[in-house]
Amino acid sequence: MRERPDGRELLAAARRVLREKLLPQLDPSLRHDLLMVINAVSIAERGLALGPAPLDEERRRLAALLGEETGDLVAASRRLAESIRAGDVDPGRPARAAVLAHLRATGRDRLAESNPRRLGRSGEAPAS
Amino acid sequence: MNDDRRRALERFLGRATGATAVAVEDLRRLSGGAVQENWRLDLVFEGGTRPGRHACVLRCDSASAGVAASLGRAQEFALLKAVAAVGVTVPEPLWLCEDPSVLGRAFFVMRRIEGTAAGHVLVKDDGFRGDRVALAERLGEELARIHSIRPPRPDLAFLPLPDGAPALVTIARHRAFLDAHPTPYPALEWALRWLERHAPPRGELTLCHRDYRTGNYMADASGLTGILDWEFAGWSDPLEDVGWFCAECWRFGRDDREAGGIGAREDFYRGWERVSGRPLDRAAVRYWEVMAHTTWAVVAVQQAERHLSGVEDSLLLALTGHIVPELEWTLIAMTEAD
Repeated sequence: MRERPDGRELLAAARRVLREKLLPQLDPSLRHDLLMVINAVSIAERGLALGPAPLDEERRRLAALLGEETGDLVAASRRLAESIRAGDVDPGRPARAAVLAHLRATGRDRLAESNPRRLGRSGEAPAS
Repeated sequence: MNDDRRRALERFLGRATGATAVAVEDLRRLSGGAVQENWRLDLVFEGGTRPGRHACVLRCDSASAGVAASLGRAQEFALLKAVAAVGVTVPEPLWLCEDPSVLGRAFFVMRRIEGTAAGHVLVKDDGFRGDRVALAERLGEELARIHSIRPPRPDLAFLPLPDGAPALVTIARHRAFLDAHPTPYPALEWALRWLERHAPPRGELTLCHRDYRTGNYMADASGLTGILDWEFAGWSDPLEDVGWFCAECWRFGRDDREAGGIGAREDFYRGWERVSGRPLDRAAVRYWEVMAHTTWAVVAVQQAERHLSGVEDSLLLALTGHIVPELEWTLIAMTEAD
């Protein structure tokens, strides 16, 4: 067993101190630096909260797309990238819709960690 | 800068101007610039070609930069000369010194301009940058002046001509980078394939700034004071600059003002058309906005890599890697239909 609070909970508490106590007191010339620190803490916190599930899902989708077992996510993703470059998913090709759905799903998961606010903006997200 | 260097600088400026006395005053290093160092200084000349006091900036390669980068200052000086000669608003380039015995590295001196370049400040409605419609129009005019410079130009011979359509050259460069990178980026490959399928043929090449956007010019309450950051300039399709300026990723949160978060597209286009005397192909700009998001995503991966590889420990560079998903999200939306 690990001690509680765990890493994610500690980052959340640290982020609140940074935003609520330090930021209002800080010299304006350092404000941008602290906002970057808060952003970095938030990204790490969300990554811990999401855990390995998005990567497992990505691996599962890639296996279905490529029709093979994908133990190595990087190698499988590289094969998909090569296939896209080769024109295998150009308009009119049968695999296009499934690859597009995968890119959207992967993109949504990565945004959920890096910048979830972008997902919330209406009218600009790709239709799902 | 120690006293010996400072006296060497004064002697160089004396020779360059024929002044009987030169004083370097209020010298201090400006923040920013990993590859270059920027120093602000005042120069006081007695006699010579420029008597009196001049507010200046000195740019030199940073102490850690190698010999290869020292050529960069001479090229940048040549670019500033070339664009100033056609009326582009830039800090006036004054003196170039390639003799390393003066400061240890190549440097040039340019006139200091006032204002702010911070994008998030410039898009605010608080008069920091004067009337925003006038500024958007002015930036269109400035860009058309840059685009009036066409190859061949002996003074700009250091800029390579693209071997084929500029868009295809850029696509090949991005793919070569991605091939060598340990992480695959299928969504960027998707965008690059779209760009390849829709690439415009090679048309008339012009000088392009290639980083012409809010954040890379300076303005004060009176409006524009200078176009900055010329290190990516090259020969390309002029619409590349137009698309870069208008791309959603360079609006600093003001998506309602599609020209750089400052004005309407038509304000910007109007200025470009007035100075160029040519109609701007509005429909063709969108292609270059897709290119802008793609190029910025590749650069963001490169910047994150600078941090990860230990070349430059920087939280800003580290966080830049995390804007890639956002850029990819926009790219999918822009390219999914065709």
